[in-house]
Amino acid sequence: MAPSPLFASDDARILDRIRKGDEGALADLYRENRKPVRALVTRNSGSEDDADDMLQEALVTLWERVATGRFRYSARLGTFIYATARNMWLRRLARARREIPGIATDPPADDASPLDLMIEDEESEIIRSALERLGEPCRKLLLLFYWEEESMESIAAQMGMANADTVKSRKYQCKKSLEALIRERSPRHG
Amino acid sequence: MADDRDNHIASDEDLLSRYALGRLNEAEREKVDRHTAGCSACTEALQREMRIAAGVRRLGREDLKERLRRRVATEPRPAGRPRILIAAALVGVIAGLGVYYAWFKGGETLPPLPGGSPPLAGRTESPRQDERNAPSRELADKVKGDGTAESSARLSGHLQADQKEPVSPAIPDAENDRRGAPAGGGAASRSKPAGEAPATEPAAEFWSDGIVERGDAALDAEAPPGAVASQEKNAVLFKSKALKEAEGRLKDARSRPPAQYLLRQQPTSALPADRERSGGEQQRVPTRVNQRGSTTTMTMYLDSLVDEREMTRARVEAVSDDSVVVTLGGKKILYRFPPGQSSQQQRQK
Repeated sequence: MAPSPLFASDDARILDRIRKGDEGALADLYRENRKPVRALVTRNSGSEDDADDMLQEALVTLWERVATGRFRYSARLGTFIYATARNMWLRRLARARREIPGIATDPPADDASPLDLMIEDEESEIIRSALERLGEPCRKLLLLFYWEEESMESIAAQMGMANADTVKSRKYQCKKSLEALIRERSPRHG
Repeated sequence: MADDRDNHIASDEDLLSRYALGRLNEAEREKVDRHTAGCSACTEALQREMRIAAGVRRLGREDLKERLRRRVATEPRPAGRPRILIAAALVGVIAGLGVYYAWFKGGETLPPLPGGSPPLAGRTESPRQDERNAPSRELADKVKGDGTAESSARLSGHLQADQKEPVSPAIPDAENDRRGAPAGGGAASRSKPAGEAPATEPAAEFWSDGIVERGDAALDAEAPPGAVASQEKNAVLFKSKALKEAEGRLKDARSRPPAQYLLRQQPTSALPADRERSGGEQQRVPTRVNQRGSTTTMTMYLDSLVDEREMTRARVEAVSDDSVVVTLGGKKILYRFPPGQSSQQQRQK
């Protein structure tokens, strides 16, 4: 069911701001949605810090999807944010409970992609940490490619490289360096 | 043949990346899935690519979250917050500060206290039925009205009857006095308990509503997230000014000879029928004030009784000749005695 046009116009403005890279739009959404998300998480074994973290994650997911053109507007933004935060929180609870023998909780089925699920996984933290040590310009290049999802040509222009082939070559080298750092930290991820 | 195909997929950086980022269409994705099903090297390469993509995206997300956290921490105004709550909180704060400020601002024009007051002796009493028969508003108003010896004398009779009632047997007077003695030794300076004042000494009794001063902690707790920081800051500054002035007077008062105060508490359920609790933004504490000789007894009617230890730590300090601040349980309760009633030191003059 499509959202009411009354709300859709507000949401359209917010989405427009996100598309233009205005992070202030996220801050506005954060304030508007803080109360319901806090109520949700704190009533379900979480703290206010957990709630804020879930809200930030949901907002970043929204940002990510809008920026990469994967966002489909099928409900009010508030509904999307609440549902995303809820699913993320349930997955976190499920992961925590898996560590306790005898308690099994199935994570909720939602539209999270395999990559989304990997991002939430602790393994990605090992890679994130390795990336911090990787330094520039590899860090920036990989962020532009995997996070911003910029084209090779755009990355070449932004980083002052000769052309797309140079970027491809440099990206390959950066990945190899990163994998070496990951192996140092966690050999099974080689 | 199969190896050739596997090597091709495993070494196709662009294909691996597009797969990891979900950039392949349905047909392309199915093709890769079919291909990798029988190719362990391709599966490994794909998993490596996805792990890297996940790690980089996590870094990007963390960076964005950090910027968001900083932004919401510094930007004051929410667009869609429940503004009525903010307004209510601000009205409460401003009204409280207004009363507080006007109170002590008014005190500046009054003559200074002839004597300050030290810490008081505290006492907790169980509810007593006779408290319901405390002086009526009408009687108290008469005292407020003229404060003459005649009025005081009439009140004195009532007071004597009241003081014949035993205090809570669990805490004998002597014990009460000991417990009530704060570190400063205010109770020790008392010449005698209120009940032992000579019957010939004139006494006065009246009601005064104490106003609970709201502290910063209360302000923080009640303000909704994202409340207007600048306005709050102004309010706090405004309050600080009033407190500073009050503290200046307290300092003066502390340098004067000590007065004697006895503080008691009763539950609001014991309030006389004609003494309804005041509503409004301010939290008020109906208090029966009895002045006899050099001793002022203040019986506060509280929603929840304060712990005995808190009572013994309580302080009463005069900030002008008709204003008193009671510090109890971390809160300041402000009293301004009605016209015609002032501190006992003033009356003794």
